[in-house]
Amino acid sequence: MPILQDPEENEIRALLKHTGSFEGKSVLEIGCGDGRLTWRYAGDTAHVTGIDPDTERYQRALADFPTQLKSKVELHNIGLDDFADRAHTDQFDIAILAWSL
Amino acid sequence: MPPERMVHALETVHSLIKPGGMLIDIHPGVDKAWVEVRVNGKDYFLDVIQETDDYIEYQQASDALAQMVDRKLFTFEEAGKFLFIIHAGSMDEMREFLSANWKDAVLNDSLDGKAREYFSKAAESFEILIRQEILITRFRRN
Repeated sequence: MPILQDPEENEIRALLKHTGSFEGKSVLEIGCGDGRLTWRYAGDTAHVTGIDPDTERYQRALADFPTQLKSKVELHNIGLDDFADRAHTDQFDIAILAWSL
Repeated sequence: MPPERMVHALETVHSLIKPGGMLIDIHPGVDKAWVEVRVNGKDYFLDVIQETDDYIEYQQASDALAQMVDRKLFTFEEAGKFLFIIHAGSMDEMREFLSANWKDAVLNDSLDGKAREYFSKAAESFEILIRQEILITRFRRN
């Protein structure tokens, strides 16, 4: 059988419980990895920027990118410092540190 | 990640969030994850998972977040816990997954023998599970 991570969806339930509504929000997900969590909440947001310095996981995310999310989600194979150097300050409504500290 | 880099990362994240915006941190707790087998729908404990650094970075992450609150960069709002469960069809699959995704996890060699014993009794279904308690915390950006 393939490895299944959190098929019980405990993680997304906890995220939705503690975040409330994502509607209309711009989100930065730091450590988005292969998109496992991203795909589960991005549909409700205005926009998601996902960053991860791990090239293998980033490539897996690109390969699994849901077509319906392509207008809402942008992914970058980049670390936080490099991203911050290029980004505007004070631009995201929500930042998610996803297992990345 | 060394503690000072955690603090630097949180300062950087602070600069990217709008004032009044939200930070959600998700990271494992300090309690050790554990391995179970699920045989014919019933779960049996096998062993805890050790880490080469003994789970110390998760406490350091919590400490770095607390430092941000002390410095009033963020305000703590609420916290919770959930169980994250990884499912594999065999110990080999689980070991392969861990070597790619959780490099400092250490599984006792005796687990394979114990898992094989349970597998021999599995008339209907068999899975290897890893359960880990995860902390989720919400902060407000000041």
